[in-house]
Amino acid sequence: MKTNSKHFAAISVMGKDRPGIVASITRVLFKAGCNIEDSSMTRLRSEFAMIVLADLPPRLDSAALQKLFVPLQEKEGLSILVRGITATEEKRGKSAWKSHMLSVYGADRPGIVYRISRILAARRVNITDVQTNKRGSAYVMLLEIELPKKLPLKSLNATLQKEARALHVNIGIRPVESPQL
Amino acid sequence: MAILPVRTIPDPLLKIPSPQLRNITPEIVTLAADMCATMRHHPHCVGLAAPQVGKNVRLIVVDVSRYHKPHSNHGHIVLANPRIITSDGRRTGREGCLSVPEFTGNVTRAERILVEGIDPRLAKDLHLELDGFEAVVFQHEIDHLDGILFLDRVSSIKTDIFRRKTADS
Repeated sequence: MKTNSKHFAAISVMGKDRPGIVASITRVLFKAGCNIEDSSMTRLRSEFAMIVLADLPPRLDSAALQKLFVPLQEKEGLSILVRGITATEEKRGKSAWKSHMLSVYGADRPGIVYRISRILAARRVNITDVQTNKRGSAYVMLLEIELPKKLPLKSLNATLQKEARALHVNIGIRPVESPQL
Repeated sequence: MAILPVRTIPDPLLKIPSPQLRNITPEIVTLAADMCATMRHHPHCVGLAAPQVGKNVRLIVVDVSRYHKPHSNHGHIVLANPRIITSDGRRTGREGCLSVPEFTGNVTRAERILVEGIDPRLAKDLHLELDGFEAVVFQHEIDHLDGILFLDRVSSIKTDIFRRKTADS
């Protein structure tokens, strides 16, 4: 690795939700000289999960960073995984993609997520963000997806509507809008 | 006036488009009053459409003045056969719905609309120029009359603050 090129790690953390998890993790990163670039953290019922992309200082590699988390794993019962990201992975895939929003809702039944994601995977559609929520008998799933530019939205939608009828759910797909004001 | 139970997804009635009201019967006036009572019963509710209380008729009630932030508004409105005549501008805002409990999402809608309809209590034609939050509420309620929920229009997950980056952007 070139000395002046940045190197990154993806750190994933999971554990029972309570105050202090973010502070515990970021304290280790700060003391090790890491800079947090992007992160996503959320609570799902009682579980807290985070993914952090951090810029590592030159002499720290991902294995060494993983070791720094050992005390936290033992003391606080957190599952922590550090994965090094190579420069080539970082550069992957400049937008040959179009962002779309997919919403699926209806009565809950097993297999909704699988049957929708199977259709997407077969067409090389990339899922970038998913939220699902079950409340009573209702199931709601919202996905942000990236369509390969050469995949016509119309044909994907036709396939999804067929699946919607089979699953007795509502499915909608539309481009993600980012109005500039 | 009665407080009516609110239908929630996956109730199929919410997805059925409602037909035009041919005439304003006393039942419709009563339904409007019950819908108003139901709206007031729910603390954050600023609008309700008839399909939400199990009636597939084109009737909505709106009262944006109940919302805690000040918005330009026409106060309490009951409208039968509401129709959007013109719309322009775009705004994205967070919406929720009594029929989709515990879910909110960003929806992009027109900023200004011109709406026509009949006030069933006065049997009078109304023409309303609406903007901002009040225009959003009317578009949301009129959508219900066509079997459309805000979930069908959600523009992004959680928040638009950070657009998901591609790996190298």
